[in-house]
Amino acid sequence: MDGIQLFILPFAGGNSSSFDDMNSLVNAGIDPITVEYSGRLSRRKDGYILKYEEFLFDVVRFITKRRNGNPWALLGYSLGSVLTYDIARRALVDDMLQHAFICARGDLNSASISQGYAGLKDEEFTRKIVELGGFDERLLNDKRFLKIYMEPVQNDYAVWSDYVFCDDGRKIHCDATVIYSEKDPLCANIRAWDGLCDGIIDYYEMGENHFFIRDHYAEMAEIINSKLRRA
Amino acid sequence: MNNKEKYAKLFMETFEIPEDELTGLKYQDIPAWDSVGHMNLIAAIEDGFDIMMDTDDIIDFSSFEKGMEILSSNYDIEF
Repeated sequence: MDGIQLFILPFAGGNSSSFDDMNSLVNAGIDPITVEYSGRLSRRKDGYILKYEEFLFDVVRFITKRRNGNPWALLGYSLGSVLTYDIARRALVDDMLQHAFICARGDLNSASISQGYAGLKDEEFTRKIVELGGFDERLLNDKRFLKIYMEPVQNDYAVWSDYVFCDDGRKIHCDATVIYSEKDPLCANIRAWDGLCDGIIDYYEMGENHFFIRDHYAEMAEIINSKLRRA
Repeated sequence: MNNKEKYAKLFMETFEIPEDELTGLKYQDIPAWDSVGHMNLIAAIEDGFDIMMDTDDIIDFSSFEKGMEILSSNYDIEF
């Protein structure tokens, strides 16, 4: 495909199919590729990674293997936004990055309350995840399924708990778009992204909770189409 | 009703889809086969074939065809 590659980095517990509804709506000139984190679906045998830097470089390898020389963009959602920030500011793949989309993640300068979730007992952890919204509570009725569903989420929160913000002066070196919900407790101090990006940065507010994407696939795709048309 | 017919019927009843949509059907191909739909499908299959599936098999159960492969290989259900 000759279009711009859009690598999508999912939220904690997400997988390569988590953005299918949105990806089906992006323009034909955009090639969406959702990153499969280690330990799930087609990569189950690779096992979970619990350390942030190791997780980051596993994602970098996933992307690097699939780069085709065309311009590219990154879209991170929640945990994926943190990875997007590091890949972009540290130029960990190549210098053809055109745009970075940061979704559902607030200020990185100070530790997030959600970084403490990994240390919670199972029931309390589940309660915190349910509070973020977007969770089908019928899964709570089946402990076996709840465990299956929560396992990758808990592992990814361990990765998130291992993250430490490092201000070494390097910023995202391309234009960026921040998409967030005012009602998301994990989007505190959202305008702090101004200080983490050298390029033009735009903000879009939508939805009612951390997982606003689940009610706004079309709006998300519209923003992507608009930004990458101009990139 | 043989095992293949029973298996197909469980899919059709759980997801409320016609038989001609079964071949090639994959997890999350249709709105009904989401995480909750998967839970309901596994419960229906366990009841229907009187088995208890392992966690790995539940996670690997990613398509109509893969399900038959798992049931055949790991639970001695012949199709």
